[in-house]
Amino acid sequence: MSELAFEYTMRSVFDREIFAHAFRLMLLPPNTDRQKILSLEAEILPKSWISQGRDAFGNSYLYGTAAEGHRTFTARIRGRVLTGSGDPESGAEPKLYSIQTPATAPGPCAVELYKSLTPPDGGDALTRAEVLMAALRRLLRYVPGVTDTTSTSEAALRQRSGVCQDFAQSLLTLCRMDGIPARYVAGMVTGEGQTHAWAEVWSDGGWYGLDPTWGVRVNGDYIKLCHGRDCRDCLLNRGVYSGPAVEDQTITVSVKKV
Amino acid sequence: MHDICKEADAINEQLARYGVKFGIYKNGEFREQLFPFDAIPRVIDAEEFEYLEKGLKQRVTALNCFLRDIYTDKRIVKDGVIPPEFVYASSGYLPQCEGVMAPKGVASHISGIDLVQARDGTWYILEDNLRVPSGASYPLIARGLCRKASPETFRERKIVDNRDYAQLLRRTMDHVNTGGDNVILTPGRYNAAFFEHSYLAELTDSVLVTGSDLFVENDLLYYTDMGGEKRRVGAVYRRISDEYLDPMSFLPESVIGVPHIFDVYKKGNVAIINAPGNGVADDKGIYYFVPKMVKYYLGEECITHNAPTYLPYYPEDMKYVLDKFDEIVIKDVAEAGGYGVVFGNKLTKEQKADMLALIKAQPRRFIAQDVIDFIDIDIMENGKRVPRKADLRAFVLTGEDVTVWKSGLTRFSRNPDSFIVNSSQGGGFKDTWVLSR
Repeated sequence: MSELAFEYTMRSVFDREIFAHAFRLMLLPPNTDRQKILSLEAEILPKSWISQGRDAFGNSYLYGTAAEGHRTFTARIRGRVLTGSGDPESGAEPKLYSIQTPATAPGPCAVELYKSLTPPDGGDALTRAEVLMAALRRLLRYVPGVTDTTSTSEAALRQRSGVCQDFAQSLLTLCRMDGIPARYVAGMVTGEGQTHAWAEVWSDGGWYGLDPTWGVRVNGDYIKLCHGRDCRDCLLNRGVYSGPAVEDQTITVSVKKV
Repeated sequence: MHDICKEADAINEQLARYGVKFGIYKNGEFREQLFPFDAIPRVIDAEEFEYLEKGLKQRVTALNCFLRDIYTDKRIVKDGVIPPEFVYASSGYLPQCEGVMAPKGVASHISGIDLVQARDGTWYILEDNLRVPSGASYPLIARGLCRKASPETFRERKIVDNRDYAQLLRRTMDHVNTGGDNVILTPGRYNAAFFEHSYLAELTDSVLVTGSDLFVENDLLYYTDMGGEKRRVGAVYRRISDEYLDPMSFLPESVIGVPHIFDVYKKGNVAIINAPGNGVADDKGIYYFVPKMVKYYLGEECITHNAPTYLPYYPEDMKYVLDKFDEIVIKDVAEAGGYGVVFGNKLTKEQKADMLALIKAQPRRFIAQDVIDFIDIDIMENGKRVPRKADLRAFVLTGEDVTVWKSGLTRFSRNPDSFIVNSSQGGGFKDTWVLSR
């Protein structure tokens, strides 16, 4: 068990005033079998009306609108989380997560990769998924900037590169091809930098976290923010506003062991 | 009737002046064209309509039960009536709607059910449209113009007045309204059915708005009126599709939606007409299961007839599709508006082989139906009566009770060799007369 302190800061600077700025922040880590939320606070500037919602996957989020004109927007979420109480996470109906989405639908590259693999016969889903993860890691290189949130796993497999999002979505593709329900997870890991993404696979009645970017099982260094069928279900911050401004957005994440 | 035909040109001219047009996107270009009106009506006698009315009410009631069930308990899946992949893999299934209950439990407020009549007189349901079925305004305005052009036609015959559609629609909106005004949300004047949006807003005393006119504050939906006052909205008859409704919950790139409207809806503070997520029930694959739904939810035999339909998903149906390929029509479940419809006997040898390979690779994506030889209805073309294929879209409104509008949109194909009557494929329309005796 470890206690982690995290801080997520999103700051947007606009080159001219914007209005009617609607936002949705999926940045509230849930209480699960694997993590316990000890404290949580959110600060959003400028002054806005704020409400809290819950999506169909069970994720909580903050949303609201800053109606008045402004040139900077800041959202800061910080808290303390007790992690590392071990796998698995209990959960609901995995059927929803066993069906490919447009972002994970296998194309020729996924089919070829899957055919070349020989996951052990009769092993449990987790063991099979780890074999798939290892194969993926032999193929994909970590290269930032070659994909975005609309990229598909097939595109990543074709160019054999991507970031954590693409590693995670590719693992979902392979697991689902193999009949294993698998879902996308967005969250944070210890250190300074960006948010992270990994996968959870349904095995023996529970969800197990696998991080294909680093090739490890998820442990006490990970804080989960939300899960869904693919990256599109887990967009951590959404925003729309009026005004022909250019936005300069910086996101910083820090997670430290206490 | 003869008199109306003489006035057809004048009526079409009036329709053009009122802006009764249909917009079509083709090759990335928007063109607006007149929706040609043919003055010879489709006539349905009282007894026949009574049968249709009973069948359609039953069908829409079952579909509403299905929509309530599928986003909550999913009893119909758990009890093995519908395989889960037909729900989850449907492009109309919106996981965002899981656990959400529409105000008063009505999901399909306005249902457009497409039917055809076979030569033996049997009516077959072609498809259920439960998202934003358009078209009611066309026979509605045409009737008004016909009555002016030839009042004696309507004096001499016992034709049920169809001009109550606006009141029916208004009642449907008021029933689910959560407090506030009714609005009709249009994507704007470049939408295919913009005429309808503005016309129905006027007739139902609703406010016609675009996405940017609406805003959310503290979990309530508002618009700003002409005097600059903020007014609450209780029901939104939205004519934009689910994916574009709210960039915060659906497609983030949508610019025609209203940020946070889906959250307001989830909290029960506004009604959305029709409810988001309805696409799961009018999916062409789910259509096959509608008679089973009627039996399952209502314990009744289904009164309406589905066209004989086969799902290549089931091995015995796949065999039928392979054996009878030249006699069937294949439909891509993901397409609408007459796109993705292929007649087996119209394909070349190579096309046929490609199609079969595609069906084998993605059996869930297609349905096959026997081709129904549906009756022709005469239209006037260059002063002569000529037969053309026609279907009927019946409108079923669900509010406090379920009502079938005593009229409907009859669409016909102007091409003598075509079975496809969709307005997006360049067809025309007729009024539909329901006789009172």
